[in-house]
Amino acid sequence: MTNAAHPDLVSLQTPEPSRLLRFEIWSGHKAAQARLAKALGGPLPGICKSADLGAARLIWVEQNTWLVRTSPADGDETLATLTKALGKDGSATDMSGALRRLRINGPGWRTLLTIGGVFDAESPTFAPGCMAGTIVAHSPVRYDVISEDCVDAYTPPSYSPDLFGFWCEAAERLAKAR
Amino acid sequence: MSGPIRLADGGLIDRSRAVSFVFDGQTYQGYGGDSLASALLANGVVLFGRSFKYHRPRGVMAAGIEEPSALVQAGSGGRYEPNSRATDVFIYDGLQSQSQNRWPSLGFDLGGLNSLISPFIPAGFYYKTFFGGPKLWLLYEHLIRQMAGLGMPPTKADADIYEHRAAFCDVLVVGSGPAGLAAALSASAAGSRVILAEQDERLGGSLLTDPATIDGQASDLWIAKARETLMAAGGRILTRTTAAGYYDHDLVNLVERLTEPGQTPGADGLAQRLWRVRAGKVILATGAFERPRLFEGNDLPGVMLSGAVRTYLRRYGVRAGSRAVITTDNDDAYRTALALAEAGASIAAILDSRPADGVHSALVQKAMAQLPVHFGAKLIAAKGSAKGLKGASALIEGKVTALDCDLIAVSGGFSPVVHLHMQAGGTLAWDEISGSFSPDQTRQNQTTVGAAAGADGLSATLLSGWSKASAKAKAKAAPTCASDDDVALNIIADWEPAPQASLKKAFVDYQNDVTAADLDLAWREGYRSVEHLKRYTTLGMATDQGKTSNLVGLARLAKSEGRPVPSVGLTTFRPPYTPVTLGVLAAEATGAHLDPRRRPVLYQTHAAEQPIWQPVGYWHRPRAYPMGNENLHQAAHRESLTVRTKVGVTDVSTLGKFDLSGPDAATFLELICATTVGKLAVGRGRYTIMLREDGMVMDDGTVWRTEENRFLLTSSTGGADRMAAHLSYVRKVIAPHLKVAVANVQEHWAAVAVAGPLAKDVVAAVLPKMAVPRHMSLDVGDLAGVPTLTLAASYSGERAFEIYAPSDQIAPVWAAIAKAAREIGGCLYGLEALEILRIEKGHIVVGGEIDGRASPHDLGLSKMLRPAGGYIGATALQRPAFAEPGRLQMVGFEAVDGSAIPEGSMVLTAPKTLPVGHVTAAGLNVIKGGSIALGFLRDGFSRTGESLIAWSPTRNQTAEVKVTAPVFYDVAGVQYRD
Repeated sequence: MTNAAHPDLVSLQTPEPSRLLRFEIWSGHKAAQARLAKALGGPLPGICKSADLGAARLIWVEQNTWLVRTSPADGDETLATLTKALGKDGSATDMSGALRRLRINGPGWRTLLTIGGVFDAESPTFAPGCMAGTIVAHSPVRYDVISEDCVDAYTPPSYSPDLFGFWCEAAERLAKAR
Repeated sequence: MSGPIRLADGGLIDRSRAVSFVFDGQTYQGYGGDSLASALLANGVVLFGRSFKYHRPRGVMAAGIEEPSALVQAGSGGRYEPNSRATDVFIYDGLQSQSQNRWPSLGFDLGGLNSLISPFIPAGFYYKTFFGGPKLWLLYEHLIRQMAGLGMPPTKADADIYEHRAAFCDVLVVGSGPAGLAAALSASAAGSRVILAEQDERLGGSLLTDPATIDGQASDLWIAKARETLMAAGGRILTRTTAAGYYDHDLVNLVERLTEPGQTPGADGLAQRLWRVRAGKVILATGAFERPRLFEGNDLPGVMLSGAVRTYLRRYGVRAGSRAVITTDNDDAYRTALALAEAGASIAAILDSRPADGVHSALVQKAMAQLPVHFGAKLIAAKGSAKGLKGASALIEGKVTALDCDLIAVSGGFSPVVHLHMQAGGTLAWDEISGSFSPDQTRQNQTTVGAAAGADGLSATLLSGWSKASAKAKAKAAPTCASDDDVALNIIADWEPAPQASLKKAFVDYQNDVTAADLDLAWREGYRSVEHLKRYTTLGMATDQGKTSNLVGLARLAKSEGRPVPSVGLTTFRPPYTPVTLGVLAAEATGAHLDPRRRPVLYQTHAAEQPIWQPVGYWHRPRAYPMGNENLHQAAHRESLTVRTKVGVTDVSTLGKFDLSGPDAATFLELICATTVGKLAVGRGRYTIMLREDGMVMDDGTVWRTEENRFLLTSSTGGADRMAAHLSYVRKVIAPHLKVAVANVQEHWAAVAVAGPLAKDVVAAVLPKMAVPRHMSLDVGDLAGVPTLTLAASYSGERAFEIYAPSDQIAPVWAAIAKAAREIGGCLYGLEALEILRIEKGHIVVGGEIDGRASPHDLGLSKMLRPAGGYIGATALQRPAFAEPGRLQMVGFEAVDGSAIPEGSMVLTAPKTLPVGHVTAAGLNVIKGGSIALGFLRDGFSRTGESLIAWSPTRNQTAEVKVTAPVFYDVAGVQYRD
């Protein structure tokens, strides 16, 4: 699903489903993070950060907790990798159905996210590789900045149709206002 | 020629762009950049409206948002807007405007008869006149409302779109006059992210009226350069934008008007935008309002504030009169006199209430050299009608002197605009000489600059803005102005009218028709508090909020009290100070976006069955699946009966679900749950309740041990978010040491419940390879390739199962189960049947019996509590109050005569007695028939068998009920076991 009417400004997509794996570390943080870094191919992103590690996208969620987005095909293997690397210091949970990803493309995404929102999406410090959790039009949402022209928004699937509609309408207005 | 005229040249209007508009049915021409007020004045119109109470003819008094009198209605249909200030509407082609509060016409208004009986209808007259019962008051109110008021409210739905935007900045500057621009430049130069908000359509503030030379260049060039500089640095400049409210943590709401009242928006359809700005620092450069003065007839068309006269002249090229009288207590009005004289008007007199023996500024001396200046002089009365002024009388050198004039320019000093500062929690300091309050202490990270801070003169204003905006700002780098432009006000506040003036026609609050005599009367009648005075007289109310009147009124009260002005107090500065349309407050939250509609993953599947939907918080869930012509009641009864006798299928995907894993998961759960759950064997589950720290039940659900170190916790749909927050709090604050991960998997898992005597058959049919689990056990299976988790748990009281699957794979699971159930006579059932069944079984629900006030004891769940304690709320449960008599305890009610028990009704021992309890949920006994209910009754556990009355005054229903145990079906609990 996409509203490609104004791709020059901002467009929305609901990408193909992916696997979302949440993992949490409760002990041996340094060692666990080192094992995970080795297993995943890079260090875990810091607070409010995200990063590409190989084919997976890692997103910091909250203290000692991360989300891994990977392809459906790689999901089981990644879950096993996480579980093994975590050992006794943490655990991983498949929550692929708990969040729906919406992708917002185009240079207007920062403006779009200010509409009905309460988050400073226009801050230059909210750069690629940053994440944030906020509310838009009463809907809970997490942002993951992919690039200057692209941001992913994760929201519970039950909220996503209305949020998608809300953003599509706002995107139309932005386009018409040009 | 008398009256206002457009000058041949001059002003900031675009004379190359003619604009056609309509006022009271007549078409006029103006120019681009004209306000409605300036365009009407340019066309010789002096009568703009009728006053609130006496329907006195009113012209235009001000040139900005402080205008109290010239209120018009603009637009039509869905774009109709009443009470717009003619001074704050910029004309556009096709503008339709009308005067208001008059009948049959503005020129001939029968309501003007009120003016003749004004001696009999002073302030508060209705309190003394309209006596009688409440019904009589309704009649009075109707009549008063017909006679008084402002514009008519809109009757059509708003046709436009509004939007909320979030914005953040280091420095928000409100106001773009010289102080505001200097502040914005200073902050920007220091590297701050700046937002500059200006309610006018142009930047410049007072510089638009009084051009100056700043930093060696004409002020219009300086303004343009400032704009460029700010934009180049990434600043955001919002014109036509009013700061409507200042809230905690430096949150300021800005209302940006993208269209004028009644105007059709651009392609995006947006009429207005509400910016919610969180600023690191707020600079208030809101300027000052000029005050009127007290004299008889000070509200007549042709009496204007001095600064406004100059604004019309300099900005709009409109000379408001040809022969003017100036009355003032400060130097600023001399600029008006000189400007009018330069524009060809004659000056009948400058009446300066200050003494003649003072030191005169260069400006005053210049005026004295060419104009008739009288010190110690006051205006007594303006004379005129709806058609304009015919003259005035003044007290000059102790003599009453007649003056010929068609314009009176009034300057009673200036009041800094401090409302945002006060909304931010600030305090004020009083200056007796100038008679003004200016900001003193601040409570938030805000500062006030320029005229709003009491700065006097352009040089001080520029320096104030520049230096206060940034700690890095150096005073030497501040913008400077030419010395000729640096005019100080030299106010010597004089509140006293001439003794010869009749105070009954000396208006203090023009919008609400409050005179000085009204204030004196209110004081004589005992209204000494300014808050009481305000409400008795209506001083400072309505859309005006006392912009020009409050201080004059305070001074009048202070005089009566014989006290200084600050000691009589201030009224509260509530947002919004300037009217804000309701549309922009609601913005997107209308229609489909009133609130989000949370759709269960099977929403479309349900929609195909055409159910009756029920909002449950944001969720929308099927309430019932009517067949044929069934109504809700019939459908729900059929569905619940089918569950009791055969099998029913329902969607329970919205339940709260949490995955808890780790070696300390059981320990963590024993903190959360008030029942024993830690010793559950793998593959077993248990019903549980969760308490708040105060011991009250906050939710209920089930706990399932899926692996040795992994549990699934379910909670109610309505309480899911609260439970998520509770788990997070306990995990991070109370038990950060535990080795446990808590994941909210509410929407990862979807679930289908199958309930009824044939439920086991359905499960066996769809999951043939899985052994059907016994009650409170679980097993995993595979349904058409979809991995499933089957929990044997019952909410309905029947043998029942909840079959879980990943939400993106639940559709085939639902389809298979629904098909299998229907094949053996089963049906789908919705929330209404679920409610009926759970009431019959006596199961509690969040929002019903779990209302935040009930302890486990009150709910009859004491035996479930873990004896060893250790769970959240356990300590609080030891409070003696929980065991004292008189507590509301959960019971059942049965209707004695079969009549319906009204839900939410009070429970009484006899008619007209105090309630002893209430009904939380009511329904039908599915098989036996009759009405049953759950509820709370004082000392209810010991009152079984008692006859009471359930009474709902709001539904006008009564039912005689008998107290029972809160279980009406299968008390022994055999139905849900094999």
